[in-house]
Amino acid sequence: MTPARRSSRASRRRSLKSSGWAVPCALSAAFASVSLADTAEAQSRGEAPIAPAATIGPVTEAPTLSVLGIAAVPDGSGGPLAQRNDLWLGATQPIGRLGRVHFAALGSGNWRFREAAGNDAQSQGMVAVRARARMGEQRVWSAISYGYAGGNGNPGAGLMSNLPGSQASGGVDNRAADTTVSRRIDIGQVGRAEAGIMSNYAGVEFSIGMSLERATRVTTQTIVVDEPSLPGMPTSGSRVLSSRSLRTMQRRDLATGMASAGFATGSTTWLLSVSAPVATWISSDVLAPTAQPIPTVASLAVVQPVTGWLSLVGAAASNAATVGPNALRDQVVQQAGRTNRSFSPVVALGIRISRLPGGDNDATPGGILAFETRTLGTVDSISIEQGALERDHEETDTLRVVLLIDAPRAESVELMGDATSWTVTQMRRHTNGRWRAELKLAPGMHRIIVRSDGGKWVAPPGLPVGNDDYGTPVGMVIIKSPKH
Amino acid sequence: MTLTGAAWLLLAQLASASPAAGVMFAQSATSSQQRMAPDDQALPSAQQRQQIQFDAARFDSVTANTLRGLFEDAVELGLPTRPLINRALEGSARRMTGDRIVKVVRELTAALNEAKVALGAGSTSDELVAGAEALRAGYDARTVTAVRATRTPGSAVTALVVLTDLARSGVPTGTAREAVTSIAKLPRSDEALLGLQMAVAKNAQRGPGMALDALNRYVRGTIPGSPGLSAPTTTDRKPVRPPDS
Repeated sequence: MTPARRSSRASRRRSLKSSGWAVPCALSAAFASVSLADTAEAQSRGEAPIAPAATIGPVTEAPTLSVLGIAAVPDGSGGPLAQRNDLWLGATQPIGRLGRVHFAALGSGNWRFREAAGNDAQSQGMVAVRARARMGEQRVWSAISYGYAGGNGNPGAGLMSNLPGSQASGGVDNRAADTTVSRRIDIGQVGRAEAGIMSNYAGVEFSIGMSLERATRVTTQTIVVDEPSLPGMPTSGSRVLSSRSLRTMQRRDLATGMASAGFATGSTTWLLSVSAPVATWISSDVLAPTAQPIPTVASLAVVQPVTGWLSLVGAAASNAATVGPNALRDQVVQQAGRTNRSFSPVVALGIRISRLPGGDNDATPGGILAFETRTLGTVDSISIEQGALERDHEETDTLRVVLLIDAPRAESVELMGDATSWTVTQMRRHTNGRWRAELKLAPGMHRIIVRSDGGKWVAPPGLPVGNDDYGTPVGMVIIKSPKH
Repeated sequence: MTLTGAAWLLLAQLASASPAAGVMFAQSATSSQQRMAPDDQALPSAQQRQQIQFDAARFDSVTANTLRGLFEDAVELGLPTRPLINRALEGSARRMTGDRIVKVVRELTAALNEAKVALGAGSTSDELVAGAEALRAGYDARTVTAVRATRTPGSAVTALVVLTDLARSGVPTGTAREAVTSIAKLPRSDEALLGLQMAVAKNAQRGPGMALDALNRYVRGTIPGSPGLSAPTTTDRKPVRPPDS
């Protein structure tokens, strides 16, 4: 066997134990951030997660900044738990509207404070553009994301200690290990497209979605094979047999199905979500380790507003995989049965800062984006323009009445009342953030309520309020006959 | 209507009767018994039946039948059915249970009947509804009658609506009555009353007592020479500090 071939084989073995690399996490979702806390085994090996899981998150428009601390918790397997803490930052900013489609930009970054093996540096980042629109009673969303992460460092000495003898050796004449990975650089990239639909039923907001993503990782390692000095040999000191760079690539294409149910108890928002891989296609270079598939993951998140602009955020997930390391982790030998376990829980705790006052943040969760509550447009005021008296086919005097509602931030405004026989009527967008509906009303008193963005029904501000027989105040519109 | 149908309606109403609607229920039971009589004189006329047509498909069958009985009773009492139908449709649109809808309609029927007595026979349907809302907001029949007396027939709607809104804003009923009856005597009083409602509603959001303050200021500004209706509970001015000695 030539030294070159020996070095290739050795490099492959060593790559299994090599130090971490990181690729961006598409952390527009909080759970994605949760997942960044990896298992103890992966931590001790220095494996960093690569990319993103399903971001699923339909509908945030609120400019928010979230800060989360993330930690892995014991899974009951008895395996040692290496401490590793993550600090995750995420931000969302609306960027405008095109017709009825609203766009928002999301960005996130992750810092890892490592206490285990490895001295590599890691950086991760993700940007996404999300579009959402309302179609009747349903809300649809779509997003494209791009993430980048880099790992650059030397594998720690501890990484080599667990290698079995047959893997650690390999030098000429079965002498001591003589192959060294002197440097490793990982560059990971991920692109994702996702779409979904969400609907409110009985106060619970259900969301289903699908994402398609491609994650790649290119690993460049400098392999040095040397022959240590031996007693009785004519040469003194170690002798370098080979030193070369080896570049390998892994790629994984993944289709993920996602579903969530969100609801609110008082001011507290709850979100239960499940993400499951539907299909996975993995390909790797011959010398690269095989990427690891991901398990199904369930997660729960809670958002509790403290003040108008500050909320506490808590979350737990059954596994970090979906949401974080769901892309190209190495298919390594399981250690203590923990590496590939589907139950490998993580928890997160943090805060979310919103620029908008509390009254503008509806407590209804917006899909799997648990940490970013949906911002609903609010109905600010109503004005009524009364037309001329007409006589309809039933010989009843009616007036053409135009209702104008100020709701500049809303993407849809609906009304119902006596005039519509209590059926929901969509208002049309007018100029200057106003919404318009034209009704034919008989002179007299009419009860009316409105809502924006599928939120709560309210009495239009400024109108006299009638009794709330069904728990919500109703506005009273008084139409006067021109005859009087 | 067959005997079986009338008896079934009676049972349904018995099952969901509320104390507040006791009087009305007694009347409806009587009218149901009258409908059971051999002569059809007590039955609603064809025109009246046409008046109580409503979209029964939006309710379950039990609720729809109960509501139909309530509407027929309202017709016999000389009450407008359209407000009752609208209130039932509102409950359906808000996905309320049938029992809740029937309860609300029954209570509104009783209130309409009481408002009819308080407002007089010449009152319009809207006035009856506005009067019923005021009664259910906590005013007594004398207040409704007093407000009615300040306006010409057919024009007490705005005054009664504003009266109800003031109570919801936290204004004591006695003060609200005094303010509304005072302003209602003015020319173009509807605009003035709606202005009062807006001023009070806007200030009510600022905190307790602010609604009453706003009402007093509005009345003083609207009625020349008025000293105000009650002592303000708060004041925007800081207390005057005595000079240091």
